[in-house]
Amino acid sequence: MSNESAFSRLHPLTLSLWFFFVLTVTVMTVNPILAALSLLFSALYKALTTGISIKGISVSLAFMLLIALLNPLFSHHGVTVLFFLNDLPVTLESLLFGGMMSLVVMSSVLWCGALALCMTSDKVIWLFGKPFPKLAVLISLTLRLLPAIKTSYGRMKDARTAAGLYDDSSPFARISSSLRIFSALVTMILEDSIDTADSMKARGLMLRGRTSCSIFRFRPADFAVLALVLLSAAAAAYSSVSKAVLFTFYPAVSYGSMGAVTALTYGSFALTAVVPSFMEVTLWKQLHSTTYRSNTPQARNSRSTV
Amino acid sequence: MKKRAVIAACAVAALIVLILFMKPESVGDHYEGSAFSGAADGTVTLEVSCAEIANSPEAGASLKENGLVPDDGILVYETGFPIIGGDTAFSVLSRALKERRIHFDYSAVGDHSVYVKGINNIYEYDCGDLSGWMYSVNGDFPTVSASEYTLSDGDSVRWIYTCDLGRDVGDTYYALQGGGTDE
Repeated sequence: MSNESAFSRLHPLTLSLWFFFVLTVTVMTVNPILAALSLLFSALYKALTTGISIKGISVSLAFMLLIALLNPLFSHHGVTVLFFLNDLPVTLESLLFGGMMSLVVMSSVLWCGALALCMTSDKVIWLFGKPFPKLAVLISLTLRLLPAIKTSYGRMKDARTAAGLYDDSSPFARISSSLRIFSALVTMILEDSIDTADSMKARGLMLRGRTSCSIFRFRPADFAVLALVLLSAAAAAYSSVSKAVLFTFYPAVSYGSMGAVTALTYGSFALTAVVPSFMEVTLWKQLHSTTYRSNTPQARNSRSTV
Repeated sequence: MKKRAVIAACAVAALIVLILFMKPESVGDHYEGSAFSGAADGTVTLEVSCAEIANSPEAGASLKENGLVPDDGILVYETGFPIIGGDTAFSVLSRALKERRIHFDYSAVGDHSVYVKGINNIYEYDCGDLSGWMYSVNGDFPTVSASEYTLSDGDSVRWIYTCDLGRDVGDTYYALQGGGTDE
């Protein structure tokens, strides 16, 4: 649990709805303000959890620059012509649109990283366990199987190398040696899966009334985050229908006036997007105050993350 | 390490090829080089019109806000333009728009065909899924690309913006076929 973040302790339902909302807005928007807010807070969260390096930042900036510069090569739309390239106009509008796209792409990548960090497999299984129990079992078995296959393959290879049966003198020999191990691996997987199926049947999987253990509880913080997500989603939906946050790049850059609805949409989106970073920062204060307190589950959890 | 060097070399080579194929021109240079020179083999008349948008109160609101649609919808009034042998409906349009300094965007389709995407920032799909630029020569709508239609002396070329796949500007192709509504 060493890389667990404060945000990922929220209930799976809250987390999935939060990510669904933020990723939907980030991917669908052509509004540079929303895209910039999204990038700002996704980068902040990455800095607080996995950390950022100078190398990482420069690679990301180069990637964003590439996206921004590629768009004018393919799109010649726009009234402000900067210069001509191969007889076709290169316009300021398509350059700006490329810049907006680079914000969207980069923040989507960062949020997907956060999703992978927070939505651990046990949360995914909890989410799909109730409506699709068979699917949940399948996912959990598959997730377990892949690393298991990798480990077994390594062991078999070691064993055969030690016995002098693994020949890697030429590419062809390597392929044929690997295929032998692969064949043994397939046999092992098939045997294993029959074992697993028998074992699960013996334990009463899919029987009526069977319950399963889950460590997730809906806490006050979940209600607060969920309420915030629903409020922002309502504001975003209303302003996308009423065109309050409309931003067009072609043929000329234009945007609506800043009204109450627009401000509410930007503000609520920013508040929602800052939640993970906010929780990450406040976690440490909370840890200081709960470490010596009573043996509540929360305090126990907190200690395990230190 | 060797693999990385190969990838880096390929990237640099791709960049050099890309740069070699780029011919940047300043806006002034681009439009200066438009003058027709040499002896003409004939004259054709050319008109560029987006009257369908101008006449419709609801179509192309954002285009009208930006002043891209003239009140009568005529971008180039019917004018005689000199041609030389091999000139096509596309090359005459390209030259005329360059001379008038009007924005023009097209894409090449295959070896010889081109597709006109936008004139004066009025683009395909700007007035719905069935809208875009079409051309007619002497009142007929040819079924070949404009760059494959060679003009002859005295032809009358019209470039027209349609909002309904040609049906609103007099093209009978889809009316005769009885289809095309779902395209």
